[in-house]
Amino acid sequence: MTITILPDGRVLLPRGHPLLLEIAKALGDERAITFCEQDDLQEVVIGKRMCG
Amino acid sequence: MSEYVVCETEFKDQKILIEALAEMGIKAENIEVYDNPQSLVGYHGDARTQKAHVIIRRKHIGSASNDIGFERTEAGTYKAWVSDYDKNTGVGRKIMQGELKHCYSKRVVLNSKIRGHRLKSVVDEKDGRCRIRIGVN
Repeated sequence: MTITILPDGRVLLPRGHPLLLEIAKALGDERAITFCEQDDLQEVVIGKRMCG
Repeated sequence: MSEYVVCETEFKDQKILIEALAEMGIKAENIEVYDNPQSLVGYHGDARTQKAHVIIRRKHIGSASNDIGFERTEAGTYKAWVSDYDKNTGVGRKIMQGELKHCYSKRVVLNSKIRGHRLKSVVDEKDGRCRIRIGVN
């Protein structure tokens, strides 16, 4: 399982990852979890900038 | 005199903030931490009105630099004080352009691995991404 940190600090996790909420809260971004529109990625983005 | 600009951040964990600064190349012994905010010092040695709880003194940044500081807000997050000069050079530029946020996010993820996950690898890619592989027990 891979977690990716983007250059701007946003975090990509696989959908349903057990660490999702923990990491989002630690980043102070729990209200900024956005679901990527690119279904093939099957990833969740934590961060303020929208993906896709 | 170079004016200070403020960079609102979402950093709320002082320990991780310091770890992230260290990952950017700032030695831990060059990062000052205070319970009560201290004045930042400018290029001419003048105390500025801006105060901070976490401070990198100008002597550790560059010969023409001003102190860089992080002030804890009432909301518990830290705002960065970076001078107009420093925002375009060295550490200040890294803070303003997001490298600190990248390092902070990386530290947050790495510090969360203790919840029954096994760290397999941490790879910093050429494109600026960091890929962290973990195994689920």
